Amino acid sequence: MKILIVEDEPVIARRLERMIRQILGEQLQDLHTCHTLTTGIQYVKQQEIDLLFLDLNLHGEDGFSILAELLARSFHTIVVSAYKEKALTAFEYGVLDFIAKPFSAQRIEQALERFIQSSAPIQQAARYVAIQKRNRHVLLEIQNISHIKGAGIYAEIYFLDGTTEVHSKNLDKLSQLLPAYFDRIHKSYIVNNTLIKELIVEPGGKYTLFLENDIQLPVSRTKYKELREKWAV
Amino acid sequence: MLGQEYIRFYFERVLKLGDNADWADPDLDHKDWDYEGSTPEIGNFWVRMRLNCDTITDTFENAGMHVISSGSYELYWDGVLLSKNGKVGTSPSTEVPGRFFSQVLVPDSLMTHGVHTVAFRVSNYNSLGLLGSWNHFYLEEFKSTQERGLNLAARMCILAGIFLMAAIYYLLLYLLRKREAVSLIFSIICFLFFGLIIMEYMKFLVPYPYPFHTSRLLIIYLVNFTVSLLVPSFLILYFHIPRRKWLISGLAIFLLIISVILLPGTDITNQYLSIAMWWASFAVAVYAVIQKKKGSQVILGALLLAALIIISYETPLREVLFAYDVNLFLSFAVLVMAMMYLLAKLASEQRKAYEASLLLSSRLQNELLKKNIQPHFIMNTLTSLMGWIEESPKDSVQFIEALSKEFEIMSEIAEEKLIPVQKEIELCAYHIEIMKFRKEIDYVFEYNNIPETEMIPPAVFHTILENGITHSIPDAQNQIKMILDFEQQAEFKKYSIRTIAMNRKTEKSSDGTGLAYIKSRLRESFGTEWKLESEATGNGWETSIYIYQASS
Repeated sequence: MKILIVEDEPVIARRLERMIRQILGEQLQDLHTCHTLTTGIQYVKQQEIDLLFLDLNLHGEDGFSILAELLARSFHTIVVSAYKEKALTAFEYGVLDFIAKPFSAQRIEQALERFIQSSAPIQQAARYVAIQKRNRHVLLEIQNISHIKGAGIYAEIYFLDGTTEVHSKNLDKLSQLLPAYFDRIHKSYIVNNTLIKELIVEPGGKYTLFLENDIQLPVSRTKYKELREKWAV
Repeated sequence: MLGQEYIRFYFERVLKLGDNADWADPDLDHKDWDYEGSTPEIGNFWVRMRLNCDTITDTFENAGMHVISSGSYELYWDGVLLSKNGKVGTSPSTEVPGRFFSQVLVPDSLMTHGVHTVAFRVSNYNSLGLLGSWNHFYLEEFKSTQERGLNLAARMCILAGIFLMAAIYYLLLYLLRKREAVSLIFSIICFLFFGLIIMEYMKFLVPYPYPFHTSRLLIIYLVNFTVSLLVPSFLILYFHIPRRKWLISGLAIFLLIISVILLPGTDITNQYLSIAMWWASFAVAVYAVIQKKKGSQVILGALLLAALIIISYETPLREVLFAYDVNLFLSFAVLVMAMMYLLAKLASEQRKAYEASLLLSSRLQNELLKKNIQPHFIMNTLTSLMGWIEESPKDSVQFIEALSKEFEIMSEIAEEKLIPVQKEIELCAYHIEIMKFRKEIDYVFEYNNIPETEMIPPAVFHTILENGITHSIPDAQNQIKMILDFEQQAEFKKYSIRTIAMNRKTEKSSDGTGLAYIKSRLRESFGTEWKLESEATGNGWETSIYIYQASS
């Protein structure tokens, strides 16, 4: 696991480092600290990381703008901030967790649990998904997503209006952030279950989901067993 | 008041200097007498008038002559002595001054149809001699003159009382509250109006001797002159019209010229003074409206209304003798009410400004106290403290001490508008210490020759320091130096804080609230006499505060 801390106060950064090392132990492969946003962004452009602890001054417009840029990337982001009232908005943007300062070791452990177990529920589902365009980023409403298809380390997001966007996060990471009405129906598919019209079982154990917008998606057998009751189809 | 009441005037008036009992004779041919009917001379003279009695005069229940005489007299009706007013004499001492206004009851037996001759034997040795002689009468229902006069006087006295109350009130306001010239002038104007009404209408209430009439007219003139000068002056002062000394002097001279050209004391003079007053006030009001001054439209409206009241008045009944129309006083009253409104508005605005300043002080105190508990400061400080406790308990104790000192000083200075510079420096020193712990940067705070006696608003340097820390990057030696300088010149004091470091490139300046706080504090204590400059320098940043002082 490769973790980056972006925190401008060295004493706070050191404390966080100590906690992370103590909690993760052998699982931690690399832990690095940057003291400015600029150096932090530079670092993630050059190095691959799995998780970012970000101290962001969210008291102002550009704080969230930078956050969106980082959330479009392949790694999860945990925000550590003094501005507790910004937590809701941060979650809407798609952070994995929001830790208010001052924080305890237990709180950090709780956040890392969520990271390690991708099935562990997060505090608040995202409302937007951040997509990186050429030299800007956009926030697209998750409720407009029809389904998502995994494509290697990326994910292809299909929207109701027919457009498609590519996201740097894989299906596992994305599914952690999505609201409860999104289901993993297949190794390579997540669906917005409000759009489900019917499920067809074909002979030979092939399950196909028909959506309102005429999309057909395959459902794997194992997933079908899990979701059958949930959908009551 | 005016109903079907008849007044009968005489139709001829002649005067002859001298004294001769034959001149009472109705049959006397007075062709060679002076038809002017008036003389500038002081001494003895006779005045004869012709009067017609008919069915109209028959309607009088009791016929009364309302006589106006600028001298003591004996009144002869068709040669018969009817009445005496004072004692006709041959010198000031032998004469007993009679009343200026007098009433004579005419017996019905004398009111036969036809032309009658009324003769006055007059002496005016006690006259002040400034005006010519004035002998006049009219015939009407005996009671009417009294009733009408008393009625009018009573009403006008009510108005006078109102003016007197206003005069006293505004005088008290002037003495007990802020000594504003406009309040005093208004008080004087009200007092003068009170005096004017009393002087005008006293003739119905006080039967004064004829010599006093000249004095009365002069007093009325002087009051009128002063009022005509003061009302526009009030407006000039109230609306802060530029070059007021020139304008007021000019107006005074203009009024004097009017007085000299037309004689002081005459009705015409008073009228022209009032007209001049109206025009001068009108000019000021128009200027004020153009300049969009508050209250200017009200005064303009009042002036137009006042003019309207005067113009619309038609005189079915002429008050011939040195009397003002009631409408004139009504229009004055409208003006006075408008001026009172202006003063009330001024008082209300002053009150609002005072309350706003109280509110501002309260808000600034709040902002200062909240500085310590802003999430960015307190949460980061506590989180940092957690780290220090784990890393070095000894350092964390020092950290906590510095923090508690900053809280203590903040709480101490919160309610003040100005604090000693030394206290502010102390606050800054503790803040720097806290930041050193937090950022592990070598912050150096230097201050040079700051006099101990100087006073500045609280947390101003503190805010500048905060900004400096946020926007600076330490140099190669991991140091950020902040230097406080003080400079005293004749016209100003200057405080400057220089930050020696590299400037952080910020997309958005978060200085907004910080600088706004500083500006509010400076405004609170120094009004507009200050300047704030904040700019990058070659090796960092410099923030300067200039406090201007009136050079003695």
